[in-house]
Amino acid sequence: MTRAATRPSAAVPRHRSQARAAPRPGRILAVTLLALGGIVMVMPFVYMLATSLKDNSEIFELSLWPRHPTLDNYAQVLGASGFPRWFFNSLLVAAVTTGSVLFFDSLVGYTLAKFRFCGRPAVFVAILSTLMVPTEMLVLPWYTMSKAMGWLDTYWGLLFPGLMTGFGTFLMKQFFESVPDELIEAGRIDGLNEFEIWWRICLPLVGPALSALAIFVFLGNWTAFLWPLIAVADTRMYTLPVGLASFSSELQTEWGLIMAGAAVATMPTLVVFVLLQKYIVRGIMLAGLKV
Amino acid sequence: MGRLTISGLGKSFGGMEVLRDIALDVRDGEFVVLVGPSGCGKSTLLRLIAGLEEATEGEIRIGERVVNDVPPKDRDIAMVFQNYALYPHMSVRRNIAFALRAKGRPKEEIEAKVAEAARVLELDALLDRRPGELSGGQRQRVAIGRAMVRDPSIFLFDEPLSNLDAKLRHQMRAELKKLHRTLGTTIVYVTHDQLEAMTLADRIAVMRGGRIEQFGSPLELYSRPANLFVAGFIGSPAMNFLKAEVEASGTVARLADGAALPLPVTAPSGRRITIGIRPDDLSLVGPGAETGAARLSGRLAMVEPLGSESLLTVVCAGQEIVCKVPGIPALADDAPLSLGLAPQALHVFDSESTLRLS
Repeated sequence: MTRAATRPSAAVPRHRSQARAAPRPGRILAVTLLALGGIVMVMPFVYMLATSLKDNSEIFELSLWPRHPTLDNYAQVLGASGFPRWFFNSLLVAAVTTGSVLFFDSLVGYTLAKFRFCGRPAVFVAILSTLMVPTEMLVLPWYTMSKAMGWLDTYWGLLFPGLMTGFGTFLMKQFFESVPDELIEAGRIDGLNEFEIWWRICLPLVGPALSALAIFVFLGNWTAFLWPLIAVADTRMYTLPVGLASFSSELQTEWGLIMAGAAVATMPTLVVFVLLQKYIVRGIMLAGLKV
Repeated sequence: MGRLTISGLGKSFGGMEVLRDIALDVRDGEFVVLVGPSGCGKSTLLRLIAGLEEATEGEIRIGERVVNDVPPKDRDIAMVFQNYALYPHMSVRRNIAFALRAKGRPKEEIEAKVAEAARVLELDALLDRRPGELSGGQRQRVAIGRAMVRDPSIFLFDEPLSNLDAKLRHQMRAELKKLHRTLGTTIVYVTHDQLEAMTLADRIAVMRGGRIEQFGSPLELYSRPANLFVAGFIGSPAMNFLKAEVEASGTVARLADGAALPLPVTAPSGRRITIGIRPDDLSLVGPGAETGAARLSGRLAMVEPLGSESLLTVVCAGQEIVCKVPGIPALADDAPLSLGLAPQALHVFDSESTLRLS
């Protein structure tokens, strides 16, 4: 019996060594396609970095290595423009909206997943239906409302549309449904109130979903362009994407500044990606979405 | 005080009545098991006692206090769930201490109680592990430890052994019994396993269809089941049932094949009855043996050897009955057999009402 059981496992290393010696054509094709895809994805980034290090004389050359590398563009972007303020604005908007979405979406998602109350399906459908309305359709009502409330050119005006999301609520509801009811009941017997049960027991159990949502929301708000462009006119209130776009005018486009600004603006995204890489991958797998 | 008194308790979900007219008096320090088939309402009853469900009618008292409107945390109970309900993101130590921390007990007290529970349950070496790193039996002990440190008036157990394999279940059963002796706390324990109920309980409430069919000691339930359901549910292998009719004398029953069985009770003549016989009360007798006992004749249908004993399935009066005999008898298929039994070992039930005739 033991001998019979060991035979298949003995075959495994042989199979592996065969695979190492002669890779299958399918695998070669897959690796080639992935490598090509990777190059296509990385090229714009490399070109952005290269251009940001070029002076104006060679800015339109397609070379990936500047003949006279210079940090002038960076110095100009960071020193002369409102870039630091825009960076701060973007960071503030992305951080506050992320925090708010994590708190409110998970709270509402938990309520919808774990409490039975009158009108619950209707509330859920109403939240889901907001996913079907594109941002482009909403910006005009948002603008009208902001104008009426005096929120234009304020942080609140930049923030309010992103403080809660239908997508986040839906995502969190799905995850909270997988938390066993017995844990919640154990919490009730252990003496926790409903808020504490959510905070101390359920929230830590949906950590991967929270991480995924945090990444999506942070990146989404960091790169948001349309609403900030409409909501603020004061240059001091610009977010990074709007500020970078201001380097390009009808008559002239400062490509060096745009590329240097974009390179700096990409930093937080890269940091988030490097630090939370495994959560991003897990988040994409869990949510079935792409960033 | 760990006395639990339930009277007139009912529970409905929407229009569906799942419990009705439940009355139960659990004495302080008693081990009571609620047993019954799936869907009989035993877990709902436990959840009502815990305060996780609201009663539609009736009263629940813990000690002298009516607790119907008291939240679970203030009922002075602790519950061990079927799937243990250990917080997966916390260590064993934090799991056990959680309720005490939630109550804001002093750190020294928490540490002392956790250490004591770990000692009693032999969890000392596992305190810094997470539930995911433990075996089923270890998780079970952590769940019990978490309940223990609360020092409750009543422990509630909801099928706590159902996820364990047979060997571990047997071991944990013994540990639970030992723990009850050590702590002396009232326990209300839910299971669908009658063997578990019989081995653990001081008293058993057998439930069916949202009602308690009989509440009594294991021996009482085994030797004097109140109705056909309890008779069939308690005991392994299950009791044999034979349809019969009472003769004019009222003391003899006539089976379908014409065989007569003397009854231990006097029943109204002509009454259709069901005779219950425990497999253990039947024995193989030779054709000429004088036993002074009642006899059943039939043919052997199957032998199930269990090692030290065997279960024989015999077709008697057109019905299959099971007989437990010592050893592994050498019998041919379809062999004619004679089974003897003492008349006082017969259980007689009214076929219509299913109640015991005593």
